[in-house]
Formats: sequence, structure tokens, C-alpha cells
Amino acid sequence: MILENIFSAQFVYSILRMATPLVLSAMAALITKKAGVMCIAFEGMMLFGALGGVIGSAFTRNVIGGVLTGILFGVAVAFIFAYFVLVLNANTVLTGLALNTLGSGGTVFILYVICGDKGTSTSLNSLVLPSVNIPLVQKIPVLGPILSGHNVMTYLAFLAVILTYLFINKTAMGLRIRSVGENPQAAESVGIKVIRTRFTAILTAGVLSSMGGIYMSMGYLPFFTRDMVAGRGFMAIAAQNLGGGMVFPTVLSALLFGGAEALSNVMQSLRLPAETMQMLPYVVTLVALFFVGGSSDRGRRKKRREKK
Amino acid sequence: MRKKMLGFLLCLAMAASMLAGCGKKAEEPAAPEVNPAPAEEESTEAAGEAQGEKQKVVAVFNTNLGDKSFSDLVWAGVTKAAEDFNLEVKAIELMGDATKQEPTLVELCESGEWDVIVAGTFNLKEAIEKVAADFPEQKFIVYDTELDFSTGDYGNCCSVMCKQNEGAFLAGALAAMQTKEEGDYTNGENIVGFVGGGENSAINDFLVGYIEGVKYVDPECKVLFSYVGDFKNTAKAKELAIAQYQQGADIVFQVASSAGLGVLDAAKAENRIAIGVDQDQALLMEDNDPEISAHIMTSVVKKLDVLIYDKLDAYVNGSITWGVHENAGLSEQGMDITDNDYTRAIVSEETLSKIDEIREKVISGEIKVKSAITMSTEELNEIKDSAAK
Repeated sequence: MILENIFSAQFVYSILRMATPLVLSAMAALITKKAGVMCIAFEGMMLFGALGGVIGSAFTRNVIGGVLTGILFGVAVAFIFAYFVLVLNANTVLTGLALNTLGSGGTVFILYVICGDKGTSTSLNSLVLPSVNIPLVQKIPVLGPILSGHNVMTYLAFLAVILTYLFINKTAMGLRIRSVGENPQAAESVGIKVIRTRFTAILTAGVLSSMGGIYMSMGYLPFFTRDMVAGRGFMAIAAQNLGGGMVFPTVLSALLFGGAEALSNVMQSLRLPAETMQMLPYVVTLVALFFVGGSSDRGRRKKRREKK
Repeated sequence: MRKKMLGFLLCLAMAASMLAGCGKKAEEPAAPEVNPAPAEEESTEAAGEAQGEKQKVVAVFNTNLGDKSFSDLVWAGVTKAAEDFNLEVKAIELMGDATKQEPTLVELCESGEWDVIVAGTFNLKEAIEKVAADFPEQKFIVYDTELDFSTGDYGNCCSVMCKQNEGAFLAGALAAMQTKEEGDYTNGENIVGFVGGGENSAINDFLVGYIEGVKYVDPECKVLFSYVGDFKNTAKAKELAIAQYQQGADIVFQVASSAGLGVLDAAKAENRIAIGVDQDQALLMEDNDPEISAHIMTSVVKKLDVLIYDKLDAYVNGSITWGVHENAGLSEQGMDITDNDYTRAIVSEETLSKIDEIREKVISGEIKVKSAITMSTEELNEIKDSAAK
């Protein structure tokens, strides 16, 4: 029965659904990483993005309005992060932590002010992003039910992956971001404005991460609930690390986490201990980091030795 | 400069989380942390003047208000009592932070301002027991957990608990009957589901009652169950429910506070049935999405609002008995399942009358529902193992 559940199209479909917010935020984490900024504020960005989407769509009665408001909210958090880290030279980890705390408390505060409820936004009657059935693809056996019928944000997430790849590797801005991340002094010496470049990188990350948040409250679920991001921002950072800072391995890592999560959900109702199953995604993260972290570190050390 | 700004940012973050956390009637300093610890004379003074002035009641919540679930219910009972009996009330939300439980209660007791502290749930039990023993003058009304009065301690407390297992029993019985009915939302398979929040004895009490109810109607009917692991990961609750629906369950009962809303949404997404908890969730979701309400067959409601209101009523009238525990089940009307238009749209008249018969049997004591609270871990595991058979 377990195998029957795992080798089903529904199961693979659910991996894509679960990995969507991770993929988007992992791309955000990747861009900041490339720019040489240690950003952990994605929980905050996602939460504000999620809340902004709900509020925006409820008041404009328009899905696009909701998405734009969500992005605005998320980018605002990214802007605060960038301003503190780049202009005021604040500690990146502390700033990130503070913004995540702000995300948790601040969203509930705004929620309470707007709809008088501290738990959920169900009274706002917000809109949801549509699901898309791809005309020809959906007829293909096996692949069709996996690839078609997802929320529009899931497709945007994978589009964002390609765009991030192109942005980092093929554009002048991407080159500048990479050089700033590799060696800021050298970059500055050839006339690249380090702070401005990093600002661009962080704000771009803000857009991607808040899209992940918007998916949570306008696609995955049709309402905002407090702390609904529940650690996905951190899992995205883990995915980025696991991917070794490369776009496609990062996506694979996000999918791996999605898969572990999906597996744990299916296994739980099959009478395996609940706690063991709840650990699974995190154990997978640790095990994967053990192998990847170990090997990349060895590589670096080897290089260092060669230099000497 | 940069340190200052960082400090400012941190303050801002903390202030925002506190603002969100503080009570609705915050005439006192908002957070428990900033209450000054007063001298001892003050506490006796305050106790003395309690007769003439407004009585003051503070409700401490382990989680937060706005969960559309039992925190809101308790607060509804407290605020209603405040209006009717002219009380001054305040809510303190601990946001699930276990490190705040004891210090908050100690500070409230030390301040001596409060005539009664209303607090409860399994998560707060230990903290309440410890603090109540240290401050024998402070009155506690404890809900949703049972203090051990057999030792003669806690003469300053009374506790009241809903027999969630009895409410869940009815839900289980209804689910087992309904899963065999032919309808738009059922699949003909003899399987039902359960999604809990974190695993604790209250959640397991629901589960045990549910399994018993299902097995009472049909020992062949399978019960799938899983736990979210917390009470906030709404998306995960949705995924767990979807996994159960895809494994053949057509009715899933959720007991997961705000995370459980994800289960209700899953019922809509998969076109199956959900059972709500604590409040009538079909009516709660009506504004947001009536389509979700249409998939909510019934809700197992805890009438904590009524119970807390009655306790405060008894307190004000002086008829309250301290040092006792009370269980409120179906017969005391502390628990029930809801019956509204959405229920009627799914469940037939005939099935509902069968449920009424079962309710009578539970009330008369003919059916004894087992409780996870009093049973051993082995026994609990046995029941869990029997669920999927």
C-alpha cells in the first residue's frame, strides 16, 4: 500500500505543490548568497508577502492587485534588511532574526488591525490565484496529471528558476552580483558599485521570496493564518546550501525536501510513529548537508593547499 | 550609530510582537514582563478591597486568541461574564512560549491585583500546579485539564474539563455511518481519517473517542490518523488531510486549532468531507468561502464558553466549590456535535436520529467511552493499532 501511494502521479504532483514556496525562496537565497550577503530574513519576507497578498486581493478585488501588494510588502522587508545591512553595516544574522520576529508579530498585528482577528484572515474573503490546466500536456498519461493542473504560482516558480539562471549567468547585472560576492574589493577596484549591486540583489530576492509567501496564502491555502510559513524560509536557505549555490542543484534540493515532506505525510497515516515521520524532512536535510557540505569543503581545502 | 539602529530595530520587532500579543482590555501594562513586582502588603490590601470594587479576572492563554477554537471560546465566556457581572477582565497570551508560563503566573499572583486567574489546557497544567501551590490565597479557575485534588492540595483551585472523548465518539459514529452512504462527497470505501495538531493527551482523547465511535458503528471501518506536529502549520495539515483522502478516507476529523483550517480547505479541494472542532466551523468559514462550509459535515464543539461563564457566575454568587474537579460530557452539555443546514445537506434524517439514539446511550451510561487521559500508554497504543484494522 505504501508503494502504491508513492508511485502514483498524485504523489509526484504533491511534491511540486509542496516544493513551490521552497523553490521560490531558495532562488531568493541563492541570489543573496551570490551577492555575498548572508540573508536569513526569508521567513519575514514570506509572511509579509502572504499577508500582503490577502489584504491586497481583499481590498482591490483583483488577483493581480493582491500579488502586487504582496510583493510590495515582501520587498519592504527586503528593503529594511538591505538598508540596515548595507548602509548601517548592521550584523546580517541579527538583522535577519529581528525581521523574522517582526514578520511573526507584525503580520498578526496588521491582521488584527485590519480584520480584528489574531488568528486567520478568513473574514477578509480574499481571492486565490487560479490553477492552470495545460491544454495538450494534460492529456499525456502519467506526465499529464503530474505537470498539469497546478496553481499558476507553481509554474511561475519554475519560470523564476530559469530566469534566475539567466539573470545570474547571462546578464551584466548577474556578473556584477557574482563579482561583488566573490571579492568586493576587486569588484570595487574596477568601478562596480558594491552597495548598489547588493541592494539590487536583495530587492530581487525580496520579490522572489514574497512570491513564495503569496503562494502560501493565495494558492496553497485560500487564507492567511498566523505563522503559516512555519520554517519554509529556513528550509529554502538549507536547499540553497545543499545546492552549493548553483541554480539547478538548488531546485533539486528543494524538490528533495518537498519529496521528504510528501513522504512523511503519506507514511504517517500508515501507522508509523508520527514523530519519526515529522523528523524525516529534517533528517534528509542533515544527511544531505553531511555529504554535500563535506565534499565541497574538502574541495576548497584542497584548493587552498594547492595555492600554498 | 549602527548598534543604536540595530537596537532600535530589535525593539521595534519586539514591540510589534507584544502589541499583537497583548490583551484587548489592556488597561494594565500590556505585557506581563513589565508588571512591577509589588511588595507583599499590597497583595493583602487588594484581596481585601475585592468586595466593594469591580472584581478582576485575568485569563492566561498558552497560545493566542483568534484561533477560532477554544482560546476564543474561553475568552467569549470570560467577556460575557464580565458584562453580566460587571467584572474587569484581561487576556494574556503566551504565544505557545513555554518559558513564559511560570513567570507570568507567578507575577500575576505576586501582583495581588487579580481575584481570579482563569487558565488551562494540558500545556499549562504543570505551571498552574506549581504556582497554585506556592500562592494558596490566589484563586484559579482551571479548564481543560484536571488537577490532582486527591492529595488535599489546591484548595484554591477548581478545574473543569470537557469530555472531548464523548463528543469525538459521536463524530466517529456519524463518520462511520456516513462513509457508507452514497453521495457526492463519499467514495464507498470504508475508511475515515483524523488529523491532530501536536500529540498530547487532549488530542489523543479526541482520537480515542473518535476511534471508539467508529468501531462502535462498524468494527470493520478503518481509521487513518496523523499529527501535524504543531498547531500553526496550516499547509501541512492540508497536505496530511489530502494524503488521507487519497488513501481512501472520505471523512476527516481535524483537531488542530488554527492549523486545522487547512484540513477544511483540503475537504473542498478533494471534494470530500471534514469534521470541525471546538466551534461550529461551518458557520465560521461561511463568510470566507461558503464552498468550504458545504464540506463541513459537523463540528465537535466544546462548550467551554458556557462552562467558564457558569464558573464565574458561581464565583460571583459565592456558590463556587473550590478544590474539586468536574467533568462535563454529553450529559452535562459540555460537549456536543453541531447540527446546522450544512449538516442537513450531507447527512440524512435517518442517520441523525441514529446519532440521537447513540447520544442518549452515552448520556445514560449504557455506552462508556474510553479516555486517553486515564489510560496507560500501552492501552493507547493498542487502540491506535486497532484503528487501521
